[in-house]
Amino acid sequence: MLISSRHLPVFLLSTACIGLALPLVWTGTAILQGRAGVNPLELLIRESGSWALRLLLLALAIAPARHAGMRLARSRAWHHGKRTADWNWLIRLRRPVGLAAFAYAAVHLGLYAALDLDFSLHELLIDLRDKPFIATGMCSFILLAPLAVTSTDGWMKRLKRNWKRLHWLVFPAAILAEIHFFLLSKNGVTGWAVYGMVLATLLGHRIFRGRFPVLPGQDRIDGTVAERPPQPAPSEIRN
Amino acid sequence: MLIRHPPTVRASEITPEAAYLGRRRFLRNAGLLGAGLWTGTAGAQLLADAATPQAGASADKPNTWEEITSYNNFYEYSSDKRAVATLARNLDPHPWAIRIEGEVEQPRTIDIDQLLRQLHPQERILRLRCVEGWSMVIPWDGVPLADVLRLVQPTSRGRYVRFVSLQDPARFYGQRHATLPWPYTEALTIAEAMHPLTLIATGLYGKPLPNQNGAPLRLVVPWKYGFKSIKSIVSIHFEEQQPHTTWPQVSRDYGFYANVNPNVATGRGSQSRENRIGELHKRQTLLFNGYASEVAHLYRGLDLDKYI
Repeated sequence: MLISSRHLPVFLLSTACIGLALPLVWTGTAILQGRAGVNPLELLIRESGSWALRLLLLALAIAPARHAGMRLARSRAWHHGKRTADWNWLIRLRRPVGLAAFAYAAVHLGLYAALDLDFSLHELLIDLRDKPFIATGMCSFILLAPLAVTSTDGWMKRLKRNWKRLHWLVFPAAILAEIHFFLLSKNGVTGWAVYGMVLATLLGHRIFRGRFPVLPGQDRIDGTVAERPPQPAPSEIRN
Repeated sequence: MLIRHPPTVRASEITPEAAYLGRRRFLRNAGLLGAGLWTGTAGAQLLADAATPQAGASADKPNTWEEITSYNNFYEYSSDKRAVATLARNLDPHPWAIRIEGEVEQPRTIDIDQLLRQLHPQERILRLRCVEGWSMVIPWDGVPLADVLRLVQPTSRGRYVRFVSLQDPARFYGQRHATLPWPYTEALTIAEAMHPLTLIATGLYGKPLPNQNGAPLRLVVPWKYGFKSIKSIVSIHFEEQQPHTTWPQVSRDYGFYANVNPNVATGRGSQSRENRIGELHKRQTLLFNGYASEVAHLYRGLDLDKYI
């Protein structure tokens, strides 16, 4: 199972899955009921792509949100149960959110291949030559694919610390997705700037806190608080 | 050929619209009555379709009124195609006059109603291909631009015709932002302007041109990308030098000619395919938007890869 219930209370997992599927259900029913407006092809491709980017940013927002939650709890001296004090349940939501982002990206790419390209390799090559946003979008998807594959517990164990190095790729993937959005936006349309500012804030948060390694594998990348180095026991100090 | 010359008086003018639309419904229902008859018709239709050449006029089904009037690129209102129809309600295009001047014998200011009385608009079903990659088939009502231009007797010095849109931020909300250098300006060579396919459209489906489609009068140049077909025109100028038009000022990926060409990429990327509104799959784009046999001679000797 991709999303292990061992990691997440069942009600939280099911709520998350329903929430993450809503845009798909919404757009799907709009198409089936003929409410999709004048250009369903554009709507389908645009909505799937937008949700892929939104969910990717949401996944990147979880670590900073957890950090903020912890600080807030500490400053207010809230009393927590043992299981909620570390706000780790937020981190556990990251896997379903990330996988949903990838799923929307896959639908986005699939719709482009089927409806726009009509599965023509020739047309794909023309697009890669003439439309820089196609190439950046493709690169982003290629970077995300191994992350989705290795999202299971089994792969986390198998890859050990390389898992984190590999999953560092989410940062270039998100940057490429944002560039993809910027490049395809026409003059006078500035929606990309909002996403760009959110992404810059999320990356900035990591750089500011020193949790954004320049090279993969140099440091922690997931925003969790590092364990303290083993402290000498008080008795040893006294000696 | 897409040019259709219907009788001067359209059926829609004689028959009330409800009855006129009801007739189609009656025919459809009558057709559905006999199942055996229906299969027979469908078979005949298949044979007829197979015999029709793809690029021919009969293969192009006009888009609906709803499609044509709710999906509009009109930056004077908004860069959001779906917002234009709502924002355009505010424009009252009456009275409206256009000024025609420059290298002409008789510069004139013509009232739009007077112009329509003088030149009888006719229906022209033409394809429109947007540089964004979508297209429509639109039953315009209009007059050849050449008929309008002859009214002012152009001199031989005029080699280009420049068109200017209304500038009025009070009614064109989009002009409150500098998304484009206002007012919107377009231009054609004299040969392009005098071509019989070049139209001044004043109506759509037998009704006055809706505001969001460029009321009260707009240009239609069906073999060029849609941005050449300037809307809500207030003045026309005959000029000696090639004028500076709006989009090439914004990006050098846009050229003066802007002929539909599937082989040359523009600022919007590859132009090899288009999304015909009403279809879920893209289709191939045709050179000169399928009007090559009518207009290719205008560009003989011109390198189409260079003069975009």
